[in-house]
Amino acid sequence: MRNKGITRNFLIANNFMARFKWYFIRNLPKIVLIALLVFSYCPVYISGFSVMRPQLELIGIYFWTLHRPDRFGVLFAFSLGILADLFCSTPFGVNVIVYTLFYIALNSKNNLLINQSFYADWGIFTLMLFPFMIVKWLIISIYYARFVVFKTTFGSIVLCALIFPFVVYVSSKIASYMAEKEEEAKI
Amino acid sequence: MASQHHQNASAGYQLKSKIKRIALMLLVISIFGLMLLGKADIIIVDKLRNLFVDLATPVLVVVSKPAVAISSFISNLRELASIRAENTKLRAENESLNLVKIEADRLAKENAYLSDLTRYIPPPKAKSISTRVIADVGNSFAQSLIAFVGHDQEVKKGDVVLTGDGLVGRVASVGFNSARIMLITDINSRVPVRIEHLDAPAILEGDNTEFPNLISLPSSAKVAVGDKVITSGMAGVYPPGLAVGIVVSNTEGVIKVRPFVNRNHLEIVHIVDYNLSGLIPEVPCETKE
Repeated sequence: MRNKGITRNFLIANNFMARFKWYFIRNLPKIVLIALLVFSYCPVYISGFSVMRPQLELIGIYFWTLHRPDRFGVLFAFSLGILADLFCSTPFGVNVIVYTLFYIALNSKNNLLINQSFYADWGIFTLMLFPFMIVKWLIISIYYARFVVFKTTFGSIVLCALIFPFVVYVSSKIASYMAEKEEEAKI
Repeated sequence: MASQHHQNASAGYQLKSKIKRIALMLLVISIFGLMLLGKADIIIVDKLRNLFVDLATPVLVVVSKPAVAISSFISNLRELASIRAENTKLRAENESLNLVKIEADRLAKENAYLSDLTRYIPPPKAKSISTRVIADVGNSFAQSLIAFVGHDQEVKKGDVVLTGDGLVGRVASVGFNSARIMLITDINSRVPVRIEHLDAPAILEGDNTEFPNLISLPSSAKVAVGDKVITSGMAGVYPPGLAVGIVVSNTEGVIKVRPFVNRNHLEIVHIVDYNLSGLIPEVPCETKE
């Protein structure tokens, strides 16, 4: 119902700026995720951070898959993986497989995971992060035919879990803004 | 009538879910296809990577500026706190450097005289360029940086990357306005080195941690903590004598080296073209006539 209202209002809004604003608001989850990807590779100048860089995109995928599945699909998770693979020097396709499988896993258990408390969300995300990062570690180890040091991967998981509340806080503010604008459009 | 409608709807739903499953399977298969492509055709993937980083460079330049400003502010504060001690240290260092300069001048004259006597042809002068690091794409699986320099500045694959402290790595790929630098700590990095005082050759092998390993040492070499590691110049990828790092541990045959370069504070790097030809060029396979 909500989408129909939005579409009608979108068609009414016929000037360029109004259309641009619509596209922008409707695609905010995707824009936020691409921004997260770029920001996560900014130089930070903190000792040890570069070898244990957290995967902020996974937090974004977790949040938006559960909160706005209508604006975030498996094809975008796949594309985001390609962008991440092009950005960093990891073997091509590794991030694609991790992001896509992470999305599929979240989407298949959407009914169970939705409407949980923040702390439950945090715990579930951390629990889910472990197997997916281990899968990534295994694929890369197979690719290089040698075991990649695991302690840095573990450090990355811990850092990602610690940063989770900050990314979720910002994402929830963006989600509220999005919902507010969509409500305004319906009226 | 109603039950027929219900049956049609149910069949439609089943068909839709089947199509969805097939699409997902195709997606997963295409992921493995992508991985195979990455493994088989590195040139295409490299070109795609360069294109993407080139497109992202303007954003990265803007985004990296606040981080550089914060880092400079913190280091300025640290320097202010230790300015007096630093000044005394620099005075002492200056005095000893004056003596070194006199000796260096004498040696330069002697070198010029001997070179003239032996008709020695010196190697071509190295070309260098300084540039800013705009992205740190390092994580637990790969260690590289992106610098704001490209083809326009005549930077090419294989150029050596340095700071005043020592060796950083080498240029892995170059785009129009960006260059990807593979660090000596990367899992794909192999640097021919030698232990300075032992004159023993070895290979410095990155493992994505901050402390790369020293491998392929002669069995007779007795490496101790504190030994300095420099490039050996073998294989012609790096010139000889570049400072690399210092041995920090030697436990059960695993020798760890701490690079002189602080990987976490790389803001400006020098990219030097030594005209070395050790890197295997990207040429197509020859065919028999």
